[in-house]
Amino acid sequence: MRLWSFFWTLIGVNVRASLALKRSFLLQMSFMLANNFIFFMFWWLFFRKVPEVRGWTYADVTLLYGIVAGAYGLTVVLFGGVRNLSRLIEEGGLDSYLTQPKPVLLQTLCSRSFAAGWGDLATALILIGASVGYTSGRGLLAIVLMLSGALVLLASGVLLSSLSFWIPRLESFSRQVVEFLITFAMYPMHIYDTVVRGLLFTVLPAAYLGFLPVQILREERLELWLWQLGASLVYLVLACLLFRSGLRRYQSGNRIMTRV
Amino acid sequence: MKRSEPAWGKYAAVFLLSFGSVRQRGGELLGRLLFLAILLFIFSHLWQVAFEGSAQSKFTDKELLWYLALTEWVVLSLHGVQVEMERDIQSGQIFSLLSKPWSYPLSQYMEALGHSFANFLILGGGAVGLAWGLSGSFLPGPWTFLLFVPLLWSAVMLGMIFQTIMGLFAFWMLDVQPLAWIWQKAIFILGGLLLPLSFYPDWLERLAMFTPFPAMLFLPATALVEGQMSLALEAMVLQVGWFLGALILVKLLLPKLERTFERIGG
Repeated sequence: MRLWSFFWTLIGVNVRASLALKRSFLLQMSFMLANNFIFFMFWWLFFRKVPEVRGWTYADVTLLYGIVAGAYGLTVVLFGGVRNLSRLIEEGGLDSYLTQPKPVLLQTLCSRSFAAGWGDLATALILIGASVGYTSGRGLLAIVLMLSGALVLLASGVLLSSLSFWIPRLESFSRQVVEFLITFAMYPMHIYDTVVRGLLFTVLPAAYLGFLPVQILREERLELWLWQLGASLVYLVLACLLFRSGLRRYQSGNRIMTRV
Repeated sequence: MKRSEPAWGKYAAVFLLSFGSVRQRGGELLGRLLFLAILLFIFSHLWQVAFEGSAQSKFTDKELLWYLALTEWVVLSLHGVQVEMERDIQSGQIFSLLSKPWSYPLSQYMEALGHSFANFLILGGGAVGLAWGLSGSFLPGPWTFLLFVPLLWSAVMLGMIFQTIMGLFAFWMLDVQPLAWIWQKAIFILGGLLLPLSFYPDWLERLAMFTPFPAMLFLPATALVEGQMSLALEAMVLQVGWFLGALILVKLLLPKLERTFERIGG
C-alpha cells in the first residue's frame, strides 16, 4: 500500500513538473497531436481506394491507431524514465536510486514524464471515440486494453534496456528496436504470414500494443482477453526479473548526486 | 605571382571532405537502412493484401512498392543541415565561421550535400535491392532507371537548399525545430511520401502541385515507376524552377537575417 502511494506521488510530481511550463507543455502536446493526425491521414487516403484489408475496415484501423498512440502516450507520461534506462545503466547512473529505500526500477521509470505524451493520449481519446464511441462501454474497454498495451510496451523497453547490464553501448539499439515495435504495431497484422505474425506475438511483441486489443473488441472472446492480459503480465514479470538479475552485475559510476 | 584558387575549389573540397566522412556515420546509416527495410517489408505485405481485394488504383501493388522505395530513398538521403546551422548559431561559433573567406550558407550547403551524396549512394543500393527483392521484378527497367535516377539526386539537392534556408532562419528564431517539423509533415503529405498524389482528393492534389514537394518526390518517383518521359521532363523543369526560386530567396534573406542577428546579439 505504501509502495502504491509512493508510485502515485512520483507520478504526481512528474506530471506537475511537466505542466509547470504551460506554454512548452501546450506546444509539445499540440505538436504531437497534429503529428499523429498527419500520419493518420495515410489511412484516410488509403481507405478511399481500398475498401478493406482482410476484413479490417477504416473504423478498425482508427481504433488500432488510437490504442497504439494511447499506449505509447501512457508509457512516456507515467514511465518516461524508460527512455533513459539503458544510458543510466551504461553510465552508472543508477547510484542515486540505489541509495533510496524504494524499488530501483520503479524510481527510475517514474523519474521522468514527457509532455508530448499527452498529445498521444489526446489522439487516443479522439480516435477511440470516433471508432467505438464512449456510450456503449466499448470505449472504456478500449482504454483498459490500451493500459495493458502500455504495460507490454513498458516491459519491452525495460527488457531491451536491461541488456545493457551485459552488453555495452546498447542505448541506440534498444531505442531503435522500441521504435520498430511501434512501427509494426501501427499496421493490421493480417497482412503478414504465420512466421512474421508469430514473431510479432513473441520476440517483438507488437501484437499486444494494438492488434490483439482490436481483435478483442471485434470478436469479444474471453480467451483473447485472457491472452492479452496474461501476455502483459508475463512480459512485465520477465522485465522485472531481467532487471533484477542485471542489477546484481551493476557497477557503480562513482557518481555523487542528490535527487530532489 | 601566386595563382588564386578557383572559387569553387574550396566548396568542392568541403563536399569531398564530408562525403569522405561516411565511415564515421556507419551506425546512423545502418539505422536508416534498417528503417527503410522494415517500412518496405510492411508495405510490400500491405499492398499485396490490398490488391487481393478491390483496390481502385491506377498503380499495381509492385508499382506502389517501388514508388515508396524511391520516395523514401530521397527523404532518407537528406542530411539535417538545419540542425548543424542552428547549433553554430546557438553556440556562437557562427562568428568565426562568418569571418572565413567563403559564403557561410554555400559552405553549409556543400557540406550537407557531401553527406547526402554518401547517404544517397548507400541507401540507393538498399532501396533498389529491397524493392527488387520484395516485388520480384526490377520494375523501372534498367535503361529507364539509369536515365531518370539523376532526377532523384536533383530532388535531394533541391531538398537540401530548402533545409539550408531553414537553417538560416536560426539567425532570427535561434530554434528552427518548429520549422523543421512543418517541413517534414509537408514532405509527407504534399510530396506524396507514402502514397502517390493520385490517391488524394482532387483539391488536395491540386494544392500540393503549387508547392515544391511534388517535384521532389511524386513526379520523379512516378516518372521512374511508369517510365514516362513527359513526367520526367515536368519534374526536371519544376525542380530547376524551384531551385532558382530558392537561390533568389537566399540572396534576399541572408543580409536581413544577419542584420537581425547582429541586432539581437545572437
